[in-house]
Amino acid sequence: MKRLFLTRAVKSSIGLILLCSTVLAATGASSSASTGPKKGGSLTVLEIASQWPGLDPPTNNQDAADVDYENAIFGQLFEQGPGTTVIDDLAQNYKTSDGGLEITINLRKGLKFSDGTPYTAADVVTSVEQDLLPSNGCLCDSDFAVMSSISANGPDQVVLHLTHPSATIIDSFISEAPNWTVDPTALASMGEPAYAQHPIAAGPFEVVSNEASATLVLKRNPLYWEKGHPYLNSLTFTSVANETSGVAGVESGSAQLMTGGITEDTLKQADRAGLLTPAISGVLANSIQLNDKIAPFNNPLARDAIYYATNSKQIMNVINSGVGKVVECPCGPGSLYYEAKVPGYRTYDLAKATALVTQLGGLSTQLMVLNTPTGEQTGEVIASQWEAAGIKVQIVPDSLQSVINAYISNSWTSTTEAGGGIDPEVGVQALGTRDTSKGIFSGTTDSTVDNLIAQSEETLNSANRGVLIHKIYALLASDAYNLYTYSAPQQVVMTKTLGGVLLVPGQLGPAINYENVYIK
Amino acid sequence: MRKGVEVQRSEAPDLTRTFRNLLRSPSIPVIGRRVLQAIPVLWGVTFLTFSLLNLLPGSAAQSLLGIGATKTEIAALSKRLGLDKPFFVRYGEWLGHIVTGHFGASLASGQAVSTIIGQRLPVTLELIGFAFFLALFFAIPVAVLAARWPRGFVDRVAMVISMLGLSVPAFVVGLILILIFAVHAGWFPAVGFTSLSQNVGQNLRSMVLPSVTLGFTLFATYSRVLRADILDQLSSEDYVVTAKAKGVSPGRVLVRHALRNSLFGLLTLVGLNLGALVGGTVLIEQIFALPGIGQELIQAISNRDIVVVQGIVVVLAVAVVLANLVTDLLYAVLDPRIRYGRPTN
Repeated sequence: MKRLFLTRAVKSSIGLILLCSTVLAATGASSSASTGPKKGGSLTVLEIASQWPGLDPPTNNQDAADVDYENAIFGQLFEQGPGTTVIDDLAQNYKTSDGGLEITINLRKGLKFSDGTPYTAADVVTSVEQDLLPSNGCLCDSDFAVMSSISANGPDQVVLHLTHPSATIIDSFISEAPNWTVDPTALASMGEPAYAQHPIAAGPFEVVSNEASATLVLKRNPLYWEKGHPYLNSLTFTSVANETSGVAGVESGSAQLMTGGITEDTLKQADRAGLLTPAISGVLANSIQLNDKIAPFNNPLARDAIYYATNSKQIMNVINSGVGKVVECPCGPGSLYYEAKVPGYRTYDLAKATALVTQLGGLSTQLMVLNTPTGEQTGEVIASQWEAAGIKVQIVPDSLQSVINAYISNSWTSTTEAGGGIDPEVGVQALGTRDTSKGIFSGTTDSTVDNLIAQSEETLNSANRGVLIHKIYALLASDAYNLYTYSAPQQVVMTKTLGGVLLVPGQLGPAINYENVYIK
Repeated sequence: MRKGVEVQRSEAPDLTRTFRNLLRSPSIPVIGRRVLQAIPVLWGVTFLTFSLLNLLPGSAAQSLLGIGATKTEIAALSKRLGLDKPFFVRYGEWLGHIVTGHFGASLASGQAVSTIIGQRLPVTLELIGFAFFLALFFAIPVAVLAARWPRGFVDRVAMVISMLGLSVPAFVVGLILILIFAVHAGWFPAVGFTSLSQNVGQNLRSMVLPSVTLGFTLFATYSRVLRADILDQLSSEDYVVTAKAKGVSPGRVLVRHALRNSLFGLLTLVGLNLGALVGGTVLIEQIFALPGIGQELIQAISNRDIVVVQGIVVVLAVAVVLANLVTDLLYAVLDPRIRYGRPTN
């Protein structure tokens, strides 16, 4: 009798839960009618495993990772448009003169910071100069090495003086510190540490509160230059440690959008839950970088062994459920100058790898990976493949900041990377100047590669530049400098209640211009 | 007799005498001893923390200067920060600053560590407070009912729930709660935090699932331990037999006599749990995206932000030592033998 009572109770509870779920699902479905852009409302964005210790562009040396926050607060001189285009924002246009040695950027008239002080060319100059101080260690240093000086010409004109013509200098602004201008009055009155936590600038939103690496609350900036924008009253970024909590957060309505390193399993889970998962072609190439400045990869045979021991397709299958494209060049299919098959690229061949390891008398390496779930899982897959060829591997998971420090001190032998860019010459671990032998992030020391990168950067004609870049790909492949695994589409998870979410390719993931986002 | 009582009640309160009595109370030496014992414990914590973090590879000066810093710049900053001084000199200076309330500035963000702790600690304290409250609020009545009717319906149901609480990891409990109460029912937010100052109602809603997750294991432990302790008191203590012989009702014996004595064991457990609970909050804060001290600690460790790690560890150590001190004082409240300095057998 007691058992019968319990069974009924359990059945009743399940029935009640199912009934509630059905009613809630029906309510949710009926509220998704679509209309045009509307003003108002709040948006909460969950960013997976994101950290933002400080938001002052000159001192924030992980700017590519913080692009969503910086764009929302500081606005942008130039904005990444759909595909591989660059569109103007706080800058109205730019003109090249003096045979490509001078670029004049015209700012919009009447720009103001959110504290009401005018935004002038002099402010842009000061800000860029601060960004490029060696002591601030901007990731953008080498991309702007071509710029010998920067000056203001009146209140609305910024002039870049170059040492040689550059096809990439304007692209270099995107997602980098020089794109974000600091309000000098606010900086002077607040002091740098306080400004880094509560920056005042000329972007579509202004900071309400910031708990570094946890929650950043923004509200609409009424002085933003673009009339009617942003649509949202407030925008909140919250860091979540894992995708499971993140998807549950979006599904339950605690947040409306999730971005960051989202795996295919999570996207499928989001699809099943009736959430949207918009995508754009990947511009990133996941890669394994080898440091040929020190042992063991100063030996070409050791690099060959790694190439042959690595099964890129299997890595893509395990990490991203087979979604994406196996690549042989530093960028994904969404990039300029993407090349599906690179001549001379060594593909997976376990027998050759084992033979090379035997010939070397053994091979061991440390594999530095990011200490995120995906980063560590990728490390484990790669390590298991290498160990099958007899290579001894020690996986070293670490934070982004520590990985950067390891580059600075050149204390790494191999790392996994997820980098690249719309333009292969602009972006982390692609082909920019930073990836020449002089760059901190490069493990490659080859003057031929350096010269080809320099030539390609100076070549303004796109077709001619493409020829040079394809030559670089072939050279990297023939000398086994960097191994590229796969490129996945860039995706976010969002509710159906959002409009105006246009994903644009970013260096470390899709970027969204939140000034155009609205609640339906 | 009755007259005497009335005379006593009619006397005006003598605050001076009360204060004098308080000073003469045997509890004061107990507090003094505990405070003195806490000093070497805290010193040990600071020394170990400082030593371990200084053993970590990597240079703080390089972390501060970032990419592109030259060896000269790193050496200059190391000198300015005093990182070139011998270990014990640095430790002494750091301890001196800590004692005067100066925790230094974060290497990663430049923020004052005291500001960071001030932002994050209230969230964690609120989480721990709620978890304790929920655990005790449910564990005490459940344990009393289970002990009143051993092997009865309540006892058996409580046993099943407690076993679940003890065997299922907190992160699984958290995710299940999110699925049921946030995703399907929509009653509580799945992630995120609203501070008390922003909105009290939203703050309570954002704290329910994390506190239940954290408190579930505590409830399981407390209810089982308390039940066993009450049963032990009921079956083996002379005062219970005496009370029963005097005709005191079973319910009164249970609540007024057995429960009061059993709370001793529970109190000890609560005091011991606090240190472990701080570790538990790290996981819960990660799952529910709460901006607490545990989340900050994880981030600071992964960034090698040793100044922040040191500050947080010291504050947590002080909190645990203080909590144990309060536990010791509560013993005196519960047990007159401790209050009046008599042996407790």
